[in-house]
Amino acid sequence: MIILRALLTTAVLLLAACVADDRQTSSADLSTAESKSGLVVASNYPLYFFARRIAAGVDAAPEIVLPEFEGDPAEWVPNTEQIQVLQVADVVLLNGAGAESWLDLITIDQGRLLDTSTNIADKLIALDDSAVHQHGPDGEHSHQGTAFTIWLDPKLAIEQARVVLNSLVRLAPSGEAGFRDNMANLEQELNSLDEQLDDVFAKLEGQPILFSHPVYQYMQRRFGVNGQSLHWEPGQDLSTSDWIDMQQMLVSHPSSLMIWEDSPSALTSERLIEAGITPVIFQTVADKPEQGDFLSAMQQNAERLDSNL
Amino acid sequence: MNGALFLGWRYLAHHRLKSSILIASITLMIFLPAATRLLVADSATALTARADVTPMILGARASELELVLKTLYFHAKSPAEIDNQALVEARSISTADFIPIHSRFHSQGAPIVGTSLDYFEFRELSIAAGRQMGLLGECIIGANVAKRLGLGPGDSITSSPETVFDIAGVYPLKMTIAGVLDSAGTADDDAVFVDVRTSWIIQGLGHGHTDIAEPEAGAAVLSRRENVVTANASLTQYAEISPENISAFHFHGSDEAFPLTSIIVVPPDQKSATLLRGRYHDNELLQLVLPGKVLEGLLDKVFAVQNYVILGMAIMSLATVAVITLVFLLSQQLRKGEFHTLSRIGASRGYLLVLIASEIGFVFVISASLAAILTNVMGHYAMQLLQSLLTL
Repeated sequence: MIILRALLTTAVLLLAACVADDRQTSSADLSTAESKSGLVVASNYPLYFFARRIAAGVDAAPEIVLPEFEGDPAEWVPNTEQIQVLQVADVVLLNGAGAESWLDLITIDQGRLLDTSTNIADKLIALDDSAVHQHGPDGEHSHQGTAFTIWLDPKLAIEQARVVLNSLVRLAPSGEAGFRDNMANLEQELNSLDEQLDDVFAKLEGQPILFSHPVYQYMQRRFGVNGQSLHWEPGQDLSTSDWIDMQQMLVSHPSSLMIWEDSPSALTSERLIEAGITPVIFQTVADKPEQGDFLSAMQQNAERLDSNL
Repeated sequence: MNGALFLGWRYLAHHRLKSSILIASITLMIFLPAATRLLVADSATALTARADVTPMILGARASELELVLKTLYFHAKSPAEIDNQALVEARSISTADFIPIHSRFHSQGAPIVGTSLDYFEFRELSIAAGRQMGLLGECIIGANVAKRLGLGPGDSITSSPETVFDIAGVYPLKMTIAGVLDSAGTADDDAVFVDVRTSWIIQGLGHGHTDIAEPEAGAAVLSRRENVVTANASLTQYAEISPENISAFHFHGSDEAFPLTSIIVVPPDQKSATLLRGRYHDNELLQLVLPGKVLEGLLDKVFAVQNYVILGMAIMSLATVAVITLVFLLSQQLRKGEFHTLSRIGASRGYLLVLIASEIGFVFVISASLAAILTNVMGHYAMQLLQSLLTL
């Protein structure tokens, strides 16, 4: 079982190593680490970051792995090799709030799953406007979802990190002291991030802004942002009806700023600027950033936003 | 007296056919009851072995025997089902391992058993070829299924409709075989294992179809109002789960209401087991049974039947002994002239008695020896024989 786990983990790491850039360094480092007690797989990058930070420098720490996401992490379905790694993991850190839709599509031991949002279930945001379908007028129907970008609220991110801490302590009790020291540092860093974002959003003074996509609910709530969301994608060619939707929204919600997960197309940027709306990139950091890490990416988000206010 | 023994032996050797028939009859007379006891004992051992390693089974409060047989062997009549909520609740109150079993459907004669990965670890089942199932719609087949149907990893197997007359009922689902199990000599060799949610999809509680929220859904949409899109009956559902369409699969309703056949309960210690038994003792809807105890009752009946069979064999043996005695007596009658000749040339009465007794003795000794050899061989190969004829 241990050999299988090591082989599968190596296979995942080798797949990740196909793209030779700094993003893979952290995964490759894990394979050369000294004593490891167990395998932890994180279902998204923020959880991976928290786990790595908490485990940093602790010899007894388990191996921590982030699967390679193909495409949008929100729509990711693990492939065969990734499923096998998930099946042998001691703990699979889940974001919860319906983020891991792939859980319903794979076979995995439920006992290995750890939902990091369990303790903050009362703080999760239900989505009122997600499309549902039903079969026949009186037939079965699907239910509306829950917003899942919990980590964009640093205070909630701390709660998730605490759950990660507890799981690491359970897996490697001998590393508890080191884990708790690292957690204290991480908490301090997240609190600093929270203050930085608070200062930046405070400058808006309630000014209405737009979000290109409804993925900023927790950030919006935490910092009291007066925002409304469209359903646009960064690489999407926008249709006339999309622009009409925006214009209709601007009637009641006159905005001069639109926050995007990633760079909109040049044409979209141009039209937005013509309409008096400044597009600003605020990455959700659901996946590993091209450069830096979760904290540096969020700090850059804050700085980018600040420079456009 | 050596001469009498020699003559007795030569007599038997000369009348080979008669001697063979006598030896065969007596051998069977001794061997059959012994073999019956041996097979029944080994069957009971095999039957109870699987039950004895299954600590407890949680199921609907109904026939205990049906519940145990369906959970252990998958071939019994389906007992009343329980809700998945029972599994969720059980996991919340105890640290025992709870393994769901949903065994309602079949595929080409093999039962489809919906379960979790824990089942394979619990039954110590290993993969002989391929890999463990990963995605919904994948399955693991037992060694006998693979051999019988000539299937292996990468092939497909389709679930059978429950009834050919209900064309609007359960849709057959085409499943990809991810792996084949090593032969275990148990009922697992003849089963097709899927994730319990795949069995729910077979039942129609989950399905996959094109996204009807998209404009391309076209004629499959009955109505659109606000955020609710209603599909009509023309919406085609996927009959196969593939990596390309798996994201389209979903369930309607809460999975706590979805059905299970039973739950195998593996408590970590005796205290947990006792607490669980106490918890379900007065439950009106659920029962927690000890499979070994349930099968003991069944085996008591089997042993009773065995005793009747052996009694019947004993009565038949009496008849056989009577016939054999008659054969010997008739043989002695026919050899009167021979015995007279021996007596005239000096054989004593005792010599003649030894001669006759040696013939009978040789027959019984050879028969007993053969019966012992056959019983011994049967003892060694009984389990393989049982496994080739039955799956326990």
